[in-house]
Amino acid sequence: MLVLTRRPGEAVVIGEGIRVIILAVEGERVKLGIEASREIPIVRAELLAAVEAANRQAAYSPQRVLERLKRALAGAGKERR
Amino acid sequence: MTQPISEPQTVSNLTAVQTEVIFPNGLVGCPEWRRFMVEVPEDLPGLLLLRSLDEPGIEFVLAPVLELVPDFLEQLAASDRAALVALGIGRSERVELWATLSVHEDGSVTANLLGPLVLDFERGCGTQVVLTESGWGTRHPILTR
Repeated sequence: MLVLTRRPGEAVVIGEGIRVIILAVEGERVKLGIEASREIPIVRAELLAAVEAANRQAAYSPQRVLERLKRALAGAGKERR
Repeated sequence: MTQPISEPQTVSNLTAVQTEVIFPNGLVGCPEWRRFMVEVPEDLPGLLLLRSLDEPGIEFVLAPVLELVPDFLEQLAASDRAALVALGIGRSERVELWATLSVHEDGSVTANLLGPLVLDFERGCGTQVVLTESGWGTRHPILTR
C-alpha cells in the first residue's frame, strides 16, 4: 500500500483521470473531493461490503426463502377463509 | 408481514419460461458470477429465480422492487435515480428492477434494496447497482417472523 501524507487543499492524482483532493480535516473526519469521469463508480467501501455479504447470504438459501414465502401465503389464504 | 407478496401474479414482461441473462461485471463482490438463467418459480409466479450458470448451487430468489415499495423510484436520491435511468429503468418496459431475498435464522425474509438488480430482458444483460445516496439497506423486511 502506498502511504502519502497530505494537507487540506492538496491532492493526489490516480492514473489519467482521477483526482482526490483533501478538502478539510475535522477531528477524526477527513472530507475528500473526488474528480473522476462519470463512468467510474465511487462507493463507500462499507456499502460494497454490505452488498457482497447480502449477495452471499442470498445465494445459498433460495429453497428456504421459497418455502418460507409459500408457507406465509398458505397462512394468509387460511386467514381469509 | 409488513408488505406485499400477498397474491401470486404473473411476470408479464418475461415471455420465455427460461431466459439467459449476463452480468458483464458479475455481482458486487462476486465478479465471477456472470451468467445466469432466469426462471419463474412454480407456485410463486410473482417472483424470479436467478440460477448461476458459472457456479452450481448459486441461486437467488428475486422480488420486484416496485411491488415491495411502489414509490421506490420517487424516494431515491437524484444521483441514484439517474444511475438507474442510465441503465434503462423507466425507459423500456423490458428493463426491470428486482431485489434479492434472504431468509434469516428467525424465519424473517428481507430484500436487498441497497443493491438491487437491473434486468434488461431486451439485451439479455443485468447489472447490480449500489444505491449509495438513498438510505436503503440490505435487509428491508418483507416478511417478519
